[in-house]
Amino acid sequence: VKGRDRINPTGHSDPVVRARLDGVQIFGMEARHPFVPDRERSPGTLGEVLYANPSRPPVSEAEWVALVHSVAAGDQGALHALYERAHRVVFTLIMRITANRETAEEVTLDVFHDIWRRASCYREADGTVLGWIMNQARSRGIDRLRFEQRKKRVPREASDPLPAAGTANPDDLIAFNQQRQALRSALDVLTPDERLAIETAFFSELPYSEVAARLNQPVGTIKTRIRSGLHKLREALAEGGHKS
Amino acid sequence: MSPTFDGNTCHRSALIAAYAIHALPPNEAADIAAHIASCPQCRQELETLRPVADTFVFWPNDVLRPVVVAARAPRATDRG
Repeated sequence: VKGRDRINPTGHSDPVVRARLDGVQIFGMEARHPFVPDRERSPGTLGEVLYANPSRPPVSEAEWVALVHSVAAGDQGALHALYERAHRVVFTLIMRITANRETAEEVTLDVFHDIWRRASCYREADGTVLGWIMNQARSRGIDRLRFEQRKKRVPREASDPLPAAGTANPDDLIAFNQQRQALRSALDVLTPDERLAIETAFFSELPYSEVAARLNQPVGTIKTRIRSGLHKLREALAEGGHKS
Repeated sequence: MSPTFDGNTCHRSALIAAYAIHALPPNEAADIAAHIASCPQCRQELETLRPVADTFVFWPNDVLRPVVVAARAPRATDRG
């Protein structure tokens, strides 16, 4: 990709690799740990990404797309902007999958590394930029989880070669798509309010009381929506399972 | 009065779902975890909800359109 080889005057040409080497320096920003909440400076959570501060205009999908196109053209600043907007929600999702903070931090960097390398593959027809990023995060997270599980199960010398990230075998892919489809269908049973409450609580890592404040709803209402929503989903998933 | 699910009539049951998706602050989470250990009703509710929370790994992010969702969401309080 044009521009990919002329990006960094100070060191490694890949900003993500440089971030790894620097340890704390990400994409040319001043030293600070990327995963320490810093609500003043960066959008920290899905809530902040999606339900942004009402005093600021919401980020349009066109802006996200423009950033990805700039990244594809080798613009480190655009990668940094994407990172600032999405890194916490990526981290949160991977944390949910791997249940290990250190692993999640590492895999989050892998995801932005992938974004840097694959930005030119993004097509608007495939979905939103955030969805594209999150799919990569999910796929990376699941690959890593499998890797960790296999490491525990199989003695090192006997282990078969692991698939590289993003190259899951076809059976895995089918199972993955089936589960995704099952959840997607089940989500239809939720009211928009229930879905919003669950989505915000789950992906933002905020306690329900802060979710309530963010959504401007009473705490009891949010508790009830989370609960009723989860029970509806349980029933819908069970019904879907029986049908198939 | 909070609704009951699966006949769980425990007065603390309203927080089990939030616990299942890690939406409790640490002090409340510890408190509820201790309660769950001694309350069969809440334990059973948690066991039925955990698999649901596990499926959220497959949450379809691709249908989230930031601008649409932001417009639909109620105006959040500005917490500064």
